[in-house]
Amino acid sequence: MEITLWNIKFKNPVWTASGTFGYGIEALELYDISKLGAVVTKGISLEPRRGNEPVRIVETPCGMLNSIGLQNPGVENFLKDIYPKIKDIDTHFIANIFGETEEEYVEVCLALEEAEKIVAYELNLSCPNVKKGGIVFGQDISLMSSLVEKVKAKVKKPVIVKLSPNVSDIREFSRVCVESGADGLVLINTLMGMKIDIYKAKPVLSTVTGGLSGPAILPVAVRMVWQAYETVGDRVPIIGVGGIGKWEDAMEHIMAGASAVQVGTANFYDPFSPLKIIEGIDRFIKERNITQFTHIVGMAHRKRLK
Amino acid sequence: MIKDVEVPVLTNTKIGTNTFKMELDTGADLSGKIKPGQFLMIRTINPSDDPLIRRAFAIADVEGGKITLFYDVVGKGTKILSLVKPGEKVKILFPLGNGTFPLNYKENVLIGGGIGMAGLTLLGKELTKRGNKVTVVYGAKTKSMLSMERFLKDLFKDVYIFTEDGSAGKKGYATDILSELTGKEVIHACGPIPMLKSLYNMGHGFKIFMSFESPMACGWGVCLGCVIKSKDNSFLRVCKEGPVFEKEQVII
Repeated sequence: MEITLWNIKFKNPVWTASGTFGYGIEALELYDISKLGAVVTKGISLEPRRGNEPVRIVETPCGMLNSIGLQNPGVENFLKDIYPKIKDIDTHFIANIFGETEEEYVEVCLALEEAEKIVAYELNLSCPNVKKGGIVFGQDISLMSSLVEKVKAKVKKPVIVKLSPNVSDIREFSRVCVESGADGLVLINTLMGMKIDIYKAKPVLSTVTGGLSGPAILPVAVRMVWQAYETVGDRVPIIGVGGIGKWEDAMEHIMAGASAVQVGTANFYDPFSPLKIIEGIDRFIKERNITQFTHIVGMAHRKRLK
Repeated sequence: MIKDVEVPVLTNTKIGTNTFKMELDTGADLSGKIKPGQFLMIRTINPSDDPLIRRAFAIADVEGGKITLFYDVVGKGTKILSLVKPGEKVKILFPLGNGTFPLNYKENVLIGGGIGMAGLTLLGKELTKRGNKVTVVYGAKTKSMLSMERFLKDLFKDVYIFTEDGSAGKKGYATDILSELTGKEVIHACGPIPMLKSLYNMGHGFKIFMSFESPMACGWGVCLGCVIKSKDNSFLRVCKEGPVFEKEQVII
């Protein structure tokens, strides 16, 4: 199931999503993570961020809300303390990059240019849980465009952009993002939501709102991957993420147009799910004598035309 | 290594108004492999996505391959778990937690509030096995909530009971015991945050180790949902650096 994107060979199209897998180190206590197609790191910012006050998570119907606030050690500590532990793992890492300004995004990427294990950057323009940066870029089309252009002008590695679903028209954001130079799109980040504790008569999360993830958002994610594929699918690869817990969910994303998928919240409630999804996709393809994985990418679009 | 396995339920019995005792057969030899303070994440094998997240329970006892858990039915997840019948399977991710209780102190006081008592029983057994002295203090709101009393009295000789309304044992809080005890070195505690907080703020000379409960999505260190504030004002993961912390490490 090897795939090639941006001239990089990935063992398979199943990756773990940012913020649901740390930097891969914790998972070494569970299984051999070199079986994964790639690991997308927890968001990395220029300076360390302590994250939001608890309460940070709460379960909701078929999903959960989170408001972690991008807790991370900052790029310098990442390179010093974490990178040495992952640099010999036999799979690719993609660094999820977060900044409060354009310059910060560029600086974090530049700091990682020499780190060979990091094969690409995923710009996080869609975290709904921080006050500055992130989603501000993801919800303002001209800010997004300018940021993507600036980063692309400075860095060598491929730049993919994780888009927010909390916008009016994902097609327009997809188109402008690609025209600004993005090498690929990642859809979707969490949907903004909230939960109220009726006995305390107050919001559960310390930040009031949080990001909804889990099986509840699968149909929204599939729809957005579908629309992005219609808009820019002939120009750049689309990476599907959102609500993938089983191989069937991944297959929906792929048939909607995803060249690879990311498993997120499922890492929490079913930590071995990425491996099960790899097996499930592989079996599905073999049973149908499909010779290449790429043949099923966007397959549902072609069927619709017939 | 952390394992994710489906194991049969041996018993799942209501032992109090809201409290259940569950015994699992892991089929593995766990002797010496579970450290006091460690926990597991559990859900039924029902493929439904609702509820989604596993529940974190303390491993209250281990004998051979048998694990004993105690839990209160408080919401959807625990309600569904309470309906599981012996012979049916549940999914468990374990053992979890790196911050565990120390076993090297001679004179120990175990203070458990409500279902938090389940986080201390394995510790009590291991301390006793090593020849260390254990005084168990069990507190609850009222008599009907002292569902672990029999289990405790079967395991330990020195058990004190406190209820807030005085309906059983002494009237008051489990932490009231501290003014009566002499010659003890260390307190191990698990229970509701107000109990831990009052213990934290008391001016006494004991060393204190506390096991925390916190909303948790993964249990293995990646969701960053369960954090607690550390002395240097950063955040520590209850599931990974904890669940047991020495008083000096944290702010509550």
